[in-house]
Amino acid sequence: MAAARSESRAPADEPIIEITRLLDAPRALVWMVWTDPKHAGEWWGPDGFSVTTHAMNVVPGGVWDYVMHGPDGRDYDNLITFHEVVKPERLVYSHGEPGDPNQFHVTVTFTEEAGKTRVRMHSVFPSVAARDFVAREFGAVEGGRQHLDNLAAYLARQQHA
Amino acid sequence: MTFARLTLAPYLTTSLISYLVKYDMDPLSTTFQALADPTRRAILAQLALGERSVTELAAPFDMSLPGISKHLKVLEHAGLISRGREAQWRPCKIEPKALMPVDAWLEKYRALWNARFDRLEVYLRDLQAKGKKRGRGKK
Repeated sequence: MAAARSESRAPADEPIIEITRLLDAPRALVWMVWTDPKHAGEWWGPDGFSVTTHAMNVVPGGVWDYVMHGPDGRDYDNLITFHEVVKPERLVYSHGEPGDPNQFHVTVTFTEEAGKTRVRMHSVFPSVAARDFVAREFGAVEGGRQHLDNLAAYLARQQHA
Repeated sequence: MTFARLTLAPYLTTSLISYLVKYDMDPLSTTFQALADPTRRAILAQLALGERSVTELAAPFDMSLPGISKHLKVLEHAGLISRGREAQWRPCKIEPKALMPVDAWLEKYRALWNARFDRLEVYLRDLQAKGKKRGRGKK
């Protein structure tokens, strides 16, 4: 299944998450759909979301300014700032408003492997705590009530520990 | 359910973030801080094999008993271990349940990127199929 196709790691003592995936497409094409505003919003998602791009300029210092339209009708503003652009092998960007303490830095590398392309996402968070926050918040939303119930139970356990 | 898999902290407002930080509603961070130390991880590895006394746990380390006790307190506070109540012995026991949320959040982040890579894969396949069709049309 899909889960088996990506590999990931998140060491407990380093604020990083790394995810890799081998894509069946030439590197030039993968680079294009990642960096061309005509293509990027088409697959970025998440599932059920559509993306409207206000501006996308993939150069050092350039931004991708976009809105995600959720299936519940809510809009989520997003800002990505590019720091390093080495076509077609490497992209470094930060995700989040400048000055946001939970802003995180992502390095994407594209490597050729016999006509296919290996994409590696290396996300560095300002701290382990910030990384955990990102993941936990995300998890809380995904699992909905049930997850929040678990969280409440977990909190209660902690207070009694 | 699918749509719920979506929202990652960057899409949340900064105010919510500072609220959570301010009121310390971040048990996962406590767990991670507890894990972010090689001695404490070695202690947990020992405890994964069975209950141990503080003296037994201290043996492999060049560390005083109070030093080890400090580490045990951090682990206990994070819910990663519990201590027996027998006055003399107070054996330490690992609490694997406390690791579940850690595993769960990684799973969520992985799920987001898996889904994104899935969409990218489909998108690339469609693009390449269209390209081939157009190529044939020209010939």
